[in-house]
Amino acid sequence: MHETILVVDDDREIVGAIAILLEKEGYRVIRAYNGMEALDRVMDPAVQLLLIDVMMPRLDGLSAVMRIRDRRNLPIIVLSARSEETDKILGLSVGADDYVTKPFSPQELAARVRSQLRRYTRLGDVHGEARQDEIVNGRLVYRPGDLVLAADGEPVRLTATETRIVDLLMRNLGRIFPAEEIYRRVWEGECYAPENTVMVHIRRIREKIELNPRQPEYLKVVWGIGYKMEKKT
Amino acid sequence: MVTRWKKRLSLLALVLGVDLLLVGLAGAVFAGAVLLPGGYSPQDAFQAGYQNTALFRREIEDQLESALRLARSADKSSWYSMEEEGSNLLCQLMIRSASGAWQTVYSNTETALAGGSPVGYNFALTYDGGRVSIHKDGEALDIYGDGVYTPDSLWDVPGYSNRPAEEGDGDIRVYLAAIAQPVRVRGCYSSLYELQQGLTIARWFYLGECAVLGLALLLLLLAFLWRDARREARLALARRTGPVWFECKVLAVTAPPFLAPLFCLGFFARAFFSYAAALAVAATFCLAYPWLLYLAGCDLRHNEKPWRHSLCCALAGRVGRALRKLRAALSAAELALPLQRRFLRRGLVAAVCILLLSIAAWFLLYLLFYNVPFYYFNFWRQCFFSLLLATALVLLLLAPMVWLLRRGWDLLRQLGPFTARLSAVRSGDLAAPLELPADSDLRQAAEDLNGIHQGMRAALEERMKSERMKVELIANVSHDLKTPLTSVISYAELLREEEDLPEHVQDYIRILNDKAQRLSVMVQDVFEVSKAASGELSLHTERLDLGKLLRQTLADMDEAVSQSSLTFRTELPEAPVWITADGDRLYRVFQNLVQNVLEYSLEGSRVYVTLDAGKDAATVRLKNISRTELPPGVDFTARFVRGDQSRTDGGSGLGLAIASSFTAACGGALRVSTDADLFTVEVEFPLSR
Repeated sequence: MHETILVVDDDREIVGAIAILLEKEGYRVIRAYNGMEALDRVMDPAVQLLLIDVMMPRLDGLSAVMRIRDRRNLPIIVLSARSEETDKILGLSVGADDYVTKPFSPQELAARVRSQLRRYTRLGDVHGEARQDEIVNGRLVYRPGDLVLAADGEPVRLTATETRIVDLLMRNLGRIFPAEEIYRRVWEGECYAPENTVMVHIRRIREKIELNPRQPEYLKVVWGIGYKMEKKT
Repeated sequence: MVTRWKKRLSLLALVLGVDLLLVGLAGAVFAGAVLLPGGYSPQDAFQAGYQNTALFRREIEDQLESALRLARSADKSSWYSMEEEGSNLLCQLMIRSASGAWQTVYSNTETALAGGSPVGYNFALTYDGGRVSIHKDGEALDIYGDGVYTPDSLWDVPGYSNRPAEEGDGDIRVYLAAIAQPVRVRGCYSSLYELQQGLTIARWFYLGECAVLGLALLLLLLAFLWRDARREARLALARRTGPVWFECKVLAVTAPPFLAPLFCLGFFARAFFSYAAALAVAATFCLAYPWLLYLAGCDLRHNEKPWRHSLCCALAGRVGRALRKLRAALSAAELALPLQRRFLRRGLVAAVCILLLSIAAWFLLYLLFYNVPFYYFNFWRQCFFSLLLATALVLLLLAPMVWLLRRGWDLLRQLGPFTARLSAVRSGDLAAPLELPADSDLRQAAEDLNGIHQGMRAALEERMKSERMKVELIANVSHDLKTPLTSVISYAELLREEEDLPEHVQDYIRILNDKAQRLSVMVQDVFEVSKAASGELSLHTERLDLGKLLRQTLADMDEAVSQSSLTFRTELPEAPVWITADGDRLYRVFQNLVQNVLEYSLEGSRVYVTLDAGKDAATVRLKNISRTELPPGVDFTARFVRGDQSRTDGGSGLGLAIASSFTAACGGALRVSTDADLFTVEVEFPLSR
């Protein structure tokens, strides 16, 4: 495929490491070391994804992202050492599609890049309209008709039980289900301590749909209450 | 052992003995005061016939004297006393007329007594020729003796040589005949009958008197012999009287001396009682009252402070308690009001009291002056001047009061803002300083308070600034650490993917990777702990079920738990335990605690996880046995403290610190206690309603 990715960071070694990592995955990498440079390079129509650091000299990452959003529609992943919730929200609100905190795991970064590119290339426009019979939730697309869940356009292989759980949660995005209710509706029976059973399945589904199963973005535990499928734009 | 009966009898003997003695003494007084002066001496009372008594002789002498006086007087129309005597004493009076013939002028019988007494009349007196002759039972009595009258003579009749008959008495003859056994005469008074009756009564009286006195002495002797038994009886009595209210006792002792005379002599006696009843009341009082005193004495002697058990004491106690309760309630109600309102009310009450007092004083003064005659003014002027003076005086007295009240009022008005200010300072509220007028009593205090506040604010700002700087510093440091760490992790990862490396180099790379990951975790943990400690942790609190959270956490960590050699014993209530906290942070808390347990527990030991929902708070307890000996006196929640100080593998040493600071940030409390090798962590949260 050879998609081209622009990697921007003032730390040359990090750029180098990311470049090696992505080139191994089969991408072409263009490097830039500050915001202004990034603005120049991003105009290359070959660039299909932008990986950009926040704290940079000359023009910081977020300002660059805002300007780039005015000119180009391409997936942007922000890299930052700031792990605060507020920083994440700020990054996403200025137009980034994803936010990865440093230090990142190389596999996770690769997975996120892959995910963004798939959504971008396969679905055309990331923010496009959903089809009638589809439930679209961020990276996930669920077709209730034929019980198929796709992550980044790739169908996810789920067992029958997992499918029922996904069916329940995807049909009720954002709603919190106690373990008892999930058990009752999926297994259609009563159970003395359903927490463990449900948790095991939730974990397995996460392994299949989350980019970083340890920090799930979609299938979340609401501690002390239940489980839910996070509603994403 | 003294029997019950003996006790009773000893008491009864004393009571009866004393009472009988009293009765006997009363009888003796009666005898001395009434019977003996009346002639009913014991000697006469026990004479065989009533005619042998001095009283009888006096009666006959009186009758004779009366008859002689009648005979001498001109008017002989009536002689009532003889008529009354009836058939008990027969009498005939004869006078010799000028012609020398004897003529009967009075007789109360058909029979001529000159010819001898009728049957049944054994006593016959004849007065003839100035001398008296008496025949009793047919025998003549020697009346005159040696013919000279002395006070010792039995009969006091005319005919003695030193008491001759009066001139002309030679023409009078009197015959008297007394019956042997006097009978009751219907319709009139018979002195002989009464005499005989009186003698009978006196006889019985004297007999009774002797009996009573004898019995009294006997009983008193018995009482004396049984004095030990009586002592116990007194104790028993005291026990009985103990529960009686002291007021009743006092009333019982003091009332009879006042009431008895009232009943006997006063209005009641005349209105409702006969004199016999009054006498009975008096007797009863005299006999019973000493025993009331005796009972009272027993009570006083054997009961400990009997006045303590009294209606007054009980009432006073009850009233006191009620008053105390009322006071407590009032003061509680008052304390519920804010300070200013409280003092305002007190001030109002004081003002109303002063007003009422001044009105009363004005009125009194008015009356006082009204009675002083200034001049001999007329009525209206008098009124006017009194009014003026009273008003002036009251106003004069009231002026300082009003001044005091005014000052108090101002103080109260400023006290409200002052206390509000105090609370504000305490809660760290950054309000404007309190400005009070220069003449205010609280001026100095307010200035001091402002000074304190300023000092506090400065200190607080300083602290907040330094805290902020600390967090900022740590944030910057962690950021600065993360950037090179990113390179380290990335290149270590690249190295790991490199093939064809010697075995030992691959080992090195693995170590590099592990340590780089741990460093990454540590940097993040340090950052979070310092944020939580400085209170800058962002929280999303919601109502959640602590039991469910624990179940979820354990389920989430099920893999690690089942891989360990530990056995988890959980005891979580089925019913939801609602608390308000940040679920994600709380998950971190318990995740860290369970990790801590997994890391430091003795292999194969049991771990107990319990949740107790109390009335106000829920407590989670994690108990495990430490693998290594626990150092005593260590605060395990302090940052970078681990049970085993020398341990270098695994854990940032921040697990408990994160758990503790996150718990505190969520409004709970985490406590660690150790008992030998038992390591207990308690996490307590207030229940949410």
